[in-house]
Amino acid sequence: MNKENLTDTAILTVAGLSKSFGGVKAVNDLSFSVKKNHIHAIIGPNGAGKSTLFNLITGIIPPDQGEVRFSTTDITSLSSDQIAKHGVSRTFQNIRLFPDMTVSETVLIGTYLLTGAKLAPALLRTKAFREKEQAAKQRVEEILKFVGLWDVRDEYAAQLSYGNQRRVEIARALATQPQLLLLDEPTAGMNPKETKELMELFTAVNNEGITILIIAHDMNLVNTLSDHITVINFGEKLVEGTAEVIQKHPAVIEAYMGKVKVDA
Amino acid sequence: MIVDQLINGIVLGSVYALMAIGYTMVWNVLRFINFAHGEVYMGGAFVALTTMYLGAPVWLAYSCGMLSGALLGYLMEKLVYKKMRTAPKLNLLIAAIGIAIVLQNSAQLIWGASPERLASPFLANNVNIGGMMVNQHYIFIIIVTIIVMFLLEFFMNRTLMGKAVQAASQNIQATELMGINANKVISITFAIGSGVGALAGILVGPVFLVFPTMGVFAGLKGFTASVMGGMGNIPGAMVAGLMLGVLESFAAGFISSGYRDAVAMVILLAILLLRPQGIFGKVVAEKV
Amino acid sequence: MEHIRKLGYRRLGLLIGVIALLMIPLGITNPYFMYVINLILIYILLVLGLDLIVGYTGQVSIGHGAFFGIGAYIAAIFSTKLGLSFWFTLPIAILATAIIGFIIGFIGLKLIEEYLVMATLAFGTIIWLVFLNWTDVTGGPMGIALIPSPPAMNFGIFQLSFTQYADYYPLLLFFVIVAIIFTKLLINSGFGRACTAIRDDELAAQSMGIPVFRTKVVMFTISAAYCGAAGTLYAHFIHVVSPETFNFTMSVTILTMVMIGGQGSIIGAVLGASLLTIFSEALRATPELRMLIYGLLIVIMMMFFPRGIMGIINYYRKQIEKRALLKKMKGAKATVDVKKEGLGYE
Ligand SMILES: Nc1ncnc2c1ncn2[C@@H]1O[C@H](COP(=O)(O)OP(=O)(O)OP(=O)(O)O)[C@@H](O)[C@H]1O
Ligand SMILES: [Mg+2]
Repeated sequence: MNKENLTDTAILTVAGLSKSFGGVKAVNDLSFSVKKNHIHAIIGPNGAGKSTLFNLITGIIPPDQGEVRFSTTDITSLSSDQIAKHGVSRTFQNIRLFPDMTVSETVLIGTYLLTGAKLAPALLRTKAFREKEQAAKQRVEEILKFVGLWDVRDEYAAQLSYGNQRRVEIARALATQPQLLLLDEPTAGMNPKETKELMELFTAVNNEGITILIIAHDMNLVNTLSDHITVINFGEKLVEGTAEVIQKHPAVIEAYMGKVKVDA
Repeated sequence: MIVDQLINGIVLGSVYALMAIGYTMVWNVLRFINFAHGEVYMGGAFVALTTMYLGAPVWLAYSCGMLSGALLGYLMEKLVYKKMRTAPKLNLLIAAIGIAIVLQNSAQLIWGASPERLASPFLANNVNIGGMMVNQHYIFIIIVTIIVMFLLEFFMNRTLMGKAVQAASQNIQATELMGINANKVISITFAIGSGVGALAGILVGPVFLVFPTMGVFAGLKGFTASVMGGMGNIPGAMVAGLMLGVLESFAAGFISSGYRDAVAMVILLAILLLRPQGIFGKVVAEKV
Repeated sequence: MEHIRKLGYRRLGLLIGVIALLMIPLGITNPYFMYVINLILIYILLVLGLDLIVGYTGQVSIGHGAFFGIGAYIAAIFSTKLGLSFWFTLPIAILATAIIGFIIGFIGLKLIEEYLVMATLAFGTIIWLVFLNWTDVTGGPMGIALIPSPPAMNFGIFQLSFTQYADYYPLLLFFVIVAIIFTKLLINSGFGRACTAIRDDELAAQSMGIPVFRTKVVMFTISAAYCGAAGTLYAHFIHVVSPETFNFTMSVTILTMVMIGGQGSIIGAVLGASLLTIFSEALRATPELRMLIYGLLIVIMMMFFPRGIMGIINYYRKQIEKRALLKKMKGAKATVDVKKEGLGYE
């Protein structure tokens, strides 16, 4: 699986990104880039600033300093809906579903960028409007089948198993047709079987040409899936490289791997 | 003239400050606006009025009014809000408005709609302050307010229960760690806040009269003051109440009296939009 | 084919329903009852409007009585001072309330939850004070009287006039039906879905590409316009407007109707408006007692039936469905979760 020489362009570039909360430097002068079509993992101990990094990239919180570029566009100061429009979608560490919606309704929300929200066509039910609605429903169906949720499409998303809730979140993110998908600890709290199934899903998503940036603690997942790994600690980049490089790196073993091994 | 307005402003402000305390204390423990607080103000004043009719001396009537206000606050929490701890905020808000409607109309059934004057031993006398004649009752209002503020300050910072009430503002469960039952803290908060609110109603009873809807605007103003001071900030609420009273009193000199009540609303909007954390508060980021 | 026939039946059913509704005045001779029915229709418009922002978008306003008032005052002013007829005052009022709604929404909707509640309260109170004090234009506490009925419409063979309560009814019914259709079209669109997503989780909605603030402001504007239309219809119906109609109590009444009927439901809006209006009219003889019971009812509903009447209906419907399902599955172990539709809180 050598995608390195196929594509070499960076789809996401983070340069000198910093963010502090009060006295805490959650992200500190962080720079790295994600190559197109890669599965790129972000690892680091609890509180290292990984989720904050995602929030900065997706415009949920503004950075103090630094720049985020998507392909060649500067998205640093854009709002999260505009960033989504550029083709970046995400899931959340603590799953955020819409409590009053069924699975298919939830995923339908992800088609917002396809259908738009123009009022006049909606009120007149124009042909274009109906076609777009049809296309949206079509897309929802495809995605639900793709992630394996078609059978539970009419159930309330919040009542599904933890693993399936995560799938709904991923499906919703996929419905926006992202080029880059950000997954914040998607397998946390899953049993080995669920984890394995999700890993297969990630590979399938990646094979559709979607670049994945994934935060994970599970080293088996990271080593199996990722083309590239960035390790962060105290908001700073510790090292980066392929799984082999990372596993051997003394600083990583000290700061992170050692701990993980003890935990495991 | 200016001094006159200043004194009027301080008197009004004292009332707003006392009202604001109730809103802010409840916000502290439950994070919601008790829309029925204005009716506690009204209820206390009416009970004082009736007690006085029955021949009780002023001090006793005033105390009865205040205690019944506290009881009213305690009861509305026990009977309604407590049952709604897990309810959406909107439901709680509507329930509070429902309570306010019930109390206003009960008062109207019991006491009638026409305004009545609460007696005060001081109202008839003026004192000379540096050549200015000031009504003794005004002085009484200001002194009582100051005393209440000191008592409250003492209670909040020097007693275990007071500290628990403060801790509750961070996290209601934290009070359990101090060995104090969270429900008890909430009850105490309602009782004190409401008692102080009722006192405000009693204090203005001799000046602005007592009637079933007297709590509506007083409630709005007190609540504006609590926002100005930063929701949950008790000393902030006191200072902001005074500021609001003085501002309103001076503004009334410049704009037509009809728009006088708009001053507080404009201030409320300005604070919400420009400094939602209140004049004295700091910004706290929400964790995503 | 089956589908089309079903749709045909539905259309037929709706047509029969509308005709039945149109017949109502024929069966009612007492003008007071007609008056109450008209009032209900006006409240339905208001509740549908407020529900757009409260029920479907999750943004609470306790200032919508002011939009009702603005619509009514615009109708009053433009018809009595400039002599414009209802057919001109209505679009002017809708446009004006939409603009004012837009401005207030644009300023206020940056705020969330309680802070938004407070801001709408402040806006509503300020506008009410303007009604009360801008005497030259609004007539001050006396208000404006002698607002004309809409002009009669001539259809050659027959004439529609709007001077009697029973005549005004079809006009109101027409606008309520239009509003219901409009609401349905709006809700079942990308825009409507965006609103419900915002209601359920703002952050997740925004991450899906939904411009949260803009969507809220647009919905708030539309919501204000509904109330403006209701205001105009009210003014030309009652012929008098005065400030006390449009105070805080009005805002609370509309919000209560939304909550009692059940948020985010057209049927809920109709039920909430109808039942509360009938209820308060029935107890008209004893105003204080009426308001006291009204308040108690609100408290009890909020405590025990947080999803309002629609919540109760849905609960029992689910129960029946569940029982039917169990019967069908017989021996098989059925697990139907009705928690979602539970009556109380989780
Ligand atoms: N909104 C916020 N306000 C204040 N502090 C914050 C906020 N968000 C994050 N932090 C702090 O920033 C630091 C980094 O947090 P972050 O959630 O990014 O870590 P993480 O690497 O995702 O950890 P975990 O593995 O536990 O998810 C922590 O110290 C956290 O407490
Ligand atoms: Mg994290």
